[in-house]
Amino acid sequence: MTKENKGASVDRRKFLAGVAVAGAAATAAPLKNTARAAAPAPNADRPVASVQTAENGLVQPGPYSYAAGKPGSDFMVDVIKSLDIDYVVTNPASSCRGLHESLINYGNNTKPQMLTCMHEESGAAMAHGYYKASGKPMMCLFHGTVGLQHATMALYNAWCDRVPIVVVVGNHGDAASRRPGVPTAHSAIDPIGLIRDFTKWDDQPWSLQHYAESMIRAYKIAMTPPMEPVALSLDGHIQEAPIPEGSELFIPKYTPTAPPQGDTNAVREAARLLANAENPVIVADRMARTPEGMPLLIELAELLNATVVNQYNRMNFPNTHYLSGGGGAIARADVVLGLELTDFFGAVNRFVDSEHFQLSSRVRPGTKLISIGVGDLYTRANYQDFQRLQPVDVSIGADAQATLPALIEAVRQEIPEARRATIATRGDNARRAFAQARENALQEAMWGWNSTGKVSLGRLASEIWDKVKGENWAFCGDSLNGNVTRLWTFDKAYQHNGGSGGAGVGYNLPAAVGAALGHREHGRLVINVQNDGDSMYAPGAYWTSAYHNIPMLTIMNNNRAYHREVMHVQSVGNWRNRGVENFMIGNEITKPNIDYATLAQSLGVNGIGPITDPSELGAAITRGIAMVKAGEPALIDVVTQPS
Amino acid sequence: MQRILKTAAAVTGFVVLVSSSALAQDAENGNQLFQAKGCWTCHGTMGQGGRGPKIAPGPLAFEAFAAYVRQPALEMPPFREPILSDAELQDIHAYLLSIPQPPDPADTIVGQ
Repeated sequence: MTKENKGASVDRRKFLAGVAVAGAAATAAPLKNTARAAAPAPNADRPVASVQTAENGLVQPGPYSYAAGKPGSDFMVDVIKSLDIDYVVTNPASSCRGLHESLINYGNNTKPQMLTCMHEESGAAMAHGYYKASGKPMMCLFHGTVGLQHATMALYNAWCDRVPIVVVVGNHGDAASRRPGVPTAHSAIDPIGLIRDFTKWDDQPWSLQHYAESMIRAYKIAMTPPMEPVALSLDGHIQEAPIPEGSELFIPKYTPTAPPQGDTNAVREAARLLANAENPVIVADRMARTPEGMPLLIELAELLNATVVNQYNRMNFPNTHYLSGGGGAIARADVVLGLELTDFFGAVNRFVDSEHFQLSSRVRPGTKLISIGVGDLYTRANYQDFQRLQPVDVSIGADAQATLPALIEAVRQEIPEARRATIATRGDNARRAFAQARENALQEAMWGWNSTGKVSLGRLASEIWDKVKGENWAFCGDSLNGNVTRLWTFDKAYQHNGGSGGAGVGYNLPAAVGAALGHREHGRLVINVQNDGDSMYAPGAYWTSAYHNIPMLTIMNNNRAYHREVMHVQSVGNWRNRGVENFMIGNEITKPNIDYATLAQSLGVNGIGPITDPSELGAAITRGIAMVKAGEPALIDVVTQPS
Repeated sequence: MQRILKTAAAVTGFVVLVSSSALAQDAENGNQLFQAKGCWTCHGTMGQGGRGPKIAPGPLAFEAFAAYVRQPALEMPPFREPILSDAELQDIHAYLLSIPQPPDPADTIVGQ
């Protein structure tokens, strides 16, 4: 719709003046009614306003007709389509009705297709999970005020996890033209203010051309590292009113911004430290933005034979690689390279949550620290997701993945010939340690193997893996105390969807549905290990998966309590010598136990369980996988040990 | 000599019987205490570990075990005498001792 309506010639100033005159006429109408009300009291109850209006012919023509001309929201759809957005997730809302109608009737509900969610928090979490599985941002179309209030926690998670989401909320700014009652109560002067602390940019466009520019700008800002949610407030009138005659609307071209690369001298200094280190360790968190990130990190790690600690918020490094190590490696390092760490302080310090505040360094004195990440480039003040300040020796404010090629080349040049033997020896040691760790992991999976009543997490992870390992699979959800990442082989960029970012509970189920949607076109078998408490914040996400035919096997890690909180209460009780007998009060999810299989069935998802005998797991998982392969979501409820 | 051996065997058998009986009784109470005192929430119902480390099978010797429970070094909250008596601690240790070795990975799907 670039440069549409060229034939229209109404001058914009005249158009606005016409609106002002008609608006004044509209505002005069109620005064007539007021005068009528001041007349002698009627001898019958006064009719309701609508009846009175109909009887007296008091319908006042507005300044425009919503039925005439091409709707403004059609142009909005054209702009959205120009960005190649595949999905718009919504919980339907009157403030968005103009755009909603255009998306389905003018846009034919394709690219973008609308997805129905049952809670805005679920919608935002779906967009979050979808982006991490597909690499494409989803648009959220939410009601302003109350709808956005619902979405806030999920958007904070996305902010902490550096995930781009384009949030669009409906709002009616003009008090004189908006509908009274609920629509007015749901309007705000600044609806986005609610989430401004954890969005990267927002706007409230006041014309269609303003909208076009803001939408392109919003998308561009969201997709530039640090990637974050952005938001637009769309006025209801601009959506619903016809495109003003004479408008020369156009859609600005979208050109992705190349991510920032590290300063050459700083990269050289980092390379010098790494190349001369006795025991370099790489810690990677949100490094791999794209599938190209993993092979780059493998190349750097192998060049140095440096242990890589993957914090798993992105699929940075294969756990099958001999350089894949645990956090304990940091204690032996003399140089630590942190790649996109949102908590560098937490990586190199140890806090023990005990009755005595215990904080100590994980690294040896003199250890050199190098940080490469976009965290230094954009920070907000209110919410403390930026964590404690960790002093480092080299700080490179840049996108780590974009910087890796230059760093690899610099390291290659900086490695002294005399150090190559040391590096080779490090590799031999790493291979031995990796093999031992693998053996230990298998042995540890056996502990509690035959536990009945509550299935052990090692057993559960093993039983799922036994059925999944031959499939083209992807994993979402809880790692069952690390058993999944220890026992399964993660060697593909799409296989692990990471965590929530902000640890806001209620994230995982809808995020997994979003991820499963991203995996669907690739035919991947999606396994979602779902914590029970998390799932009950908004179980309507099950229905969304059924309604939109999103296949996914959910394994309910049903420990029937908010168990992390159990441990907190136990700790405080013991510190105070009051004991732990009451620790389940406020924490348990029992009496009654929730029947997750039946719950799932009521929402259109196949349900199996509850399973308390681990010997029944294998057959149940086989059944569940068959259902998912048939294109249907399924759930297996497993009563488990605490995690 | 044969009588002496028979007597010795009988005495030994009696001692073993008494010991295992006492152990079984203590272990059963220890299991109940392990659940009631919330040990299982971090260590799992069979001591296999969870948020806390694995403590069974093969727990620490009682003295070391008791010393750690009374004054832990890390995140485990202390279980002092007012909330866990020495006798209760002994029963819990007996329960941990009673937990059998798990199967060999090679005998399960893990080793296949």
